[in-house]
Amino acid sequence: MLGNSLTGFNNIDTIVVGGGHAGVEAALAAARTGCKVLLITMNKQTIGRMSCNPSIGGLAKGQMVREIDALGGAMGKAADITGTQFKLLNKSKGRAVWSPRAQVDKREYEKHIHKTVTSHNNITVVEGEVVSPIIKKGRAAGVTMSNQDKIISKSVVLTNGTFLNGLIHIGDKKIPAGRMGEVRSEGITESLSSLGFKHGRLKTGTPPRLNRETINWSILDIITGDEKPAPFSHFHSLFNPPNTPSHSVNTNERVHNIIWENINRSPMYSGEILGVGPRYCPSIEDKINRFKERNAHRLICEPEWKNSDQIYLNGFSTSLPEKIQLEALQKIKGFESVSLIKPGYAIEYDYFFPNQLKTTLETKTYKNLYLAGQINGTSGYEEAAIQGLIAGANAGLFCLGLGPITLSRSDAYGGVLIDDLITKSTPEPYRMFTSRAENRLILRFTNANKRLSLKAFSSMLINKKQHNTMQEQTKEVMALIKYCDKTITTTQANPILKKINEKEITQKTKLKELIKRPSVSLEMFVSMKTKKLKVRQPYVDEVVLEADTEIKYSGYIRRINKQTKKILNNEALLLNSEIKYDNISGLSKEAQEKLNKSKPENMGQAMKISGVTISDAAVLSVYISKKQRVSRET
Amino acid sequence: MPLGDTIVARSTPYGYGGIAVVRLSGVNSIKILKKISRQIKTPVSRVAQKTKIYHKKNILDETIVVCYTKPRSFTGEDMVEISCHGSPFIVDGIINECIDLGARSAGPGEFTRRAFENGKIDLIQAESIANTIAASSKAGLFNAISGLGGEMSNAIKGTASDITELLSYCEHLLDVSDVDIQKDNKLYISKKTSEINKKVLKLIENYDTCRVLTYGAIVVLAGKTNSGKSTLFNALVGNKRSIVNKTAGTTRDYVDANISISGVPIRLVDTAGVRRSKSAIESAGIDNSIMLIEKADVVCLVRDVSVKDDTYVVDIIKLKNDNIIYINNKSDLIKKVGYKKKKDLYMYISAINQTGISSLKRAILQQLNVEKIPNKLSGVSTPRQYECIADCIKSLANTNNKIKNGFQLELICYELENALRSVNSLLGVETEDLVLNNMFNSFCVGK
Repeated sequence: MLGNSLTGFNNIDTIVVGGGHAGVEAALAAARTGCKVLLITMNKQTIGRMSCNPSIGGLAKGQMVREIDALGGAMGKAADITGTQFKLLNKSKGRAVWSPRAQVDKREYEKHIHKTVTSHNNITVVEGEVVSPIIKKGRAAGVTMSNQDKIISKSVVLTNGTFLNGLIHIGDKKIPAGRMGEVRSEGITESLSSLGFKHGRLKTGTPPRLNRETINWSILDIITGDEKPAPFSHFHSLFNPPNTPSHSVNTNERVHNIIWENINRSPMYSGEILGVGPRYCPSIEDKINRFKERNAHRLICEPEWKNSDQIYLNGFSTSLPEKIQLEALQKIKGFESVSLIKPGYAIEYDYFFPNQLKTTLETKTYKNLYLAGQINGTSGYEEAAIQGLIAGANAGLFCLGLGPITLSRSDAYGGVLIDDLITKSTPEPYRMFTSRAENRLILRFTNANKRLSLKAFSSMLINKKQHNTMQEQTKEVMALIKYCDKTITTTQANPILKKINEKEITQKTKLKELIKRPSVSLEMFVSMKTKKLKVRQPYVDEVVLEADTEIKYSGYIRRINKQTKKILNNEALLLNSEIKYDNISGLSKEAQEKLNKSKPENMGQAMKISGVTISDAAVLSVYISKKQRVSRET
Repeated sequence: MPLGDTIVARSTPYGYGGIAVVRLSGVNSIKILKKISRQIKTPVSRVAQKTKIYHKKNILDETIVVCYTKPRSFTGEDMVEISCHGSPFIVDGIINECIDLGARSAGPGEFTRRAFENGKIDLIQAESIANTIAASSKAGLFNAISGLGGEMSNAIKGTASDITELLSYCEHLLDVSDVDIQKDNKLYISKKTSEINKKVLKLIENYDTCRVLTYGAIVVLAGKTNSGKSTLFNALVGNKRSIVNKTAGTTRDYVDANISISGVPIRLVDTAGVRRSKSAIESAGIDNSIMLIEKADVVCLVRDVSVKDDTYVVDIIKLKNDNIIYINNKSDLIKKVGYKKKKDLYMYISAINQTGISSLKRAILQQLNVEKIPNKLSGVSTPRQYECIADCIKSLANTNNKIKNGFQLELICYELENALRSVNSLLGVETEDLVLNNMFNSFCVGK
């Protein structure tokens, strides 16, 4: 009976549960497709809250924020507007892995996101606790609230994050909570389990927040951002962010000794925490235990907002008792009389094995039910946001009767993320790395526009104007590449080459050939006088950089495109979820079992399952082509 | 290529013989056997059994049959091996019976392909089977068998895991912040790359020897017309295969014979002499000779000491091949013409008197680099394997180049990935279908 339906919430297309980074992008993406969206959060005030580090982007994540922006998402723009320091990371490595990162003002960020969400005509925000999705005839049809109210919708996106049975650990203290000081959500895990979903438990941590007044700032090392900052969003006409310095300190052996002596009081080591923690963003306990040969670790003091009294101590994630945290910190130069506003803590939470999802982030068992963000076992704002965006977009597109949007591994880091999630098991919180993307040479922060604008536009995630803007940027890159086909004389080139100690040329040469040299760049030859660009700042530099990269990497790009084409062909071979693999003779027993269990959507996914050998793949492809032949004949 | 259906073929050479073997593989193999042998009971697996095979009401032959139930068979499928009497009529009769009952005539290498695809053997082992069958020498057979046993596979797997390890190391560096990259990272990567390179080079160091021992070498006799090539050919073969005549230009097409020098299989080719010719047939023969010279592993350049030199011929041959043995033939005529021996590359023989032939044979082995065949020889022996390793070496060289040239880490990773892919394709991991088809098609039917 729908009698209990909450009044005022009729004709809802998509319900998004949760207002974190996944929930926000999900609600906005569904709304952009034209759907009526209801966002249900436990606390309206915390929409878009950055619960951990006060920064957006970073290695591989920066590229992802660019992708989110190209798909019309909110994260990049919000970071640009509220950023306090911008820096391009990985500059010591090749340009394909350069990643933008920004220090942001958490409060401003949250405010900006809050406004973006609440001011959207298609989004209604309501406070409440969802305990279960409503399933009817194998489809999601709404949600049930903790007070047993039911809200009906056509599709549901769950983005519950760390709030699922969240349990905070500080030393031996345990506090049930979602974030420090916020209630956790209960019931979702149980109701999803009863629907047949399998779940596990993960842990993550956050460092202490220091009292600004108690730090001796004058003796700390200063870190500043780039002078020419690169924005995340493609759509600015003006970009002139502040360059607020942050500060760094080093731990020392006295600090390490205190932590080492008390390591058993950390719940990770005492065995209190059962959840698996991430290897890459280890707690300070972990760092000291694992890198015993290092006698110092660098920590960065990041202000959480403008004039913040609260300093985020990047690199000191811990779940030691508060007293020990303080004692250890006070042994650091400059922290002699430091005090804590909030201690660092570890949090355990439930997640659902993401191999129960499709590329669209819809669950394999129930139609129109989508899961995104930390609930899928990922870690990080950016990872959550891109999933939210894809899940929300598909939840919306479904309501309109339109085809889904999916990202392939050669489209985007987001595609790598989703593919990894649904085809591999994640034994720890999943964080994006450049090393996860085998096509990283073509997944650059400077070409997210080229990779995704058309996809975004045809799925109604961006408007005509946004599409045109990105098209213009890519066209400008093409024009620049073409410009480099022209020859350059010795008198034009040699003074420039001489300046950088490069071998001079003896005869007219194509500019392209010069740029292929590792230490020569297009930038050196494009003076604004000779070439009028249509693109304006802040995008001139990156358009030049992108053209330069395309030329330098052209050989590699050609080879990668050839390789990815083959993979895309495999992904185009669809496997019906109704296939009974035990009936296919020739498949190994192991392959039959694994294929039956994971029900891959296409040949590409099937080939990635461990235990499915090349001969199984051959058998399978013969089976599919036979099937196709039969269905054509009948 | 469809899989799983039942295939049939003879597995022994065509023609008459004491016995011949017909093989069946696939789901219906045993059912078909029961029908053609009028048996009701299913035969016991892996037990030889005397069985009559029928054509309609008549007994076709009395045979020995072994059934293998899957997966314990060569192909991993149900299999039947029928040893029948070696008359083509009987063999074809049995095959026709099987085809009438739904079996399909097997394509080249299809049995081995099935064994590969059912995971019974890896690609190297599959190739080794072809090599075992084709092996022309004892040492070649050893190499093929060591491949069959997986010795080569293990060496390659080791290399693959070395590359994987280095690649992981580099990938990891991509994801740590700039501050954390130590100076010795670069050194480590460079050191590891050259270590791997050395290992990979070892895999092909015996390539020529392995290839020669497995497939045989091509030795071409070339030179001016009437220099005595055909006499030499006959001397080496040991009978009069090539027509010998005093008229220059007698040999207009090539003549070849398979011989063995100290166990090394050699295809000896006698070619038409090279000269400027007016006859169309002869000059076609000369073009042919030049093609053969290009393809040869060794060219024996035969010169007549008794006549004046024409450098034209020597120059042409030198242009086409580097592996040349220089021979002054007709040394028996030296005194007669008053020729003075010079200290140069040429060795002196008299084909007609059979003098100098054994030192020539030694020279051929030397030139082929198979003078001393190691007892235990292992390494790649097919062109496909060689190509994979060559690709890997190229990628490793590129890696090295990227290390030295600005240390472009993400490109280093890319090159290492390619190196890994080449090595893996050697084992048939993720090998494209095209390569597989190519490879298995080089088998004869029935293997």
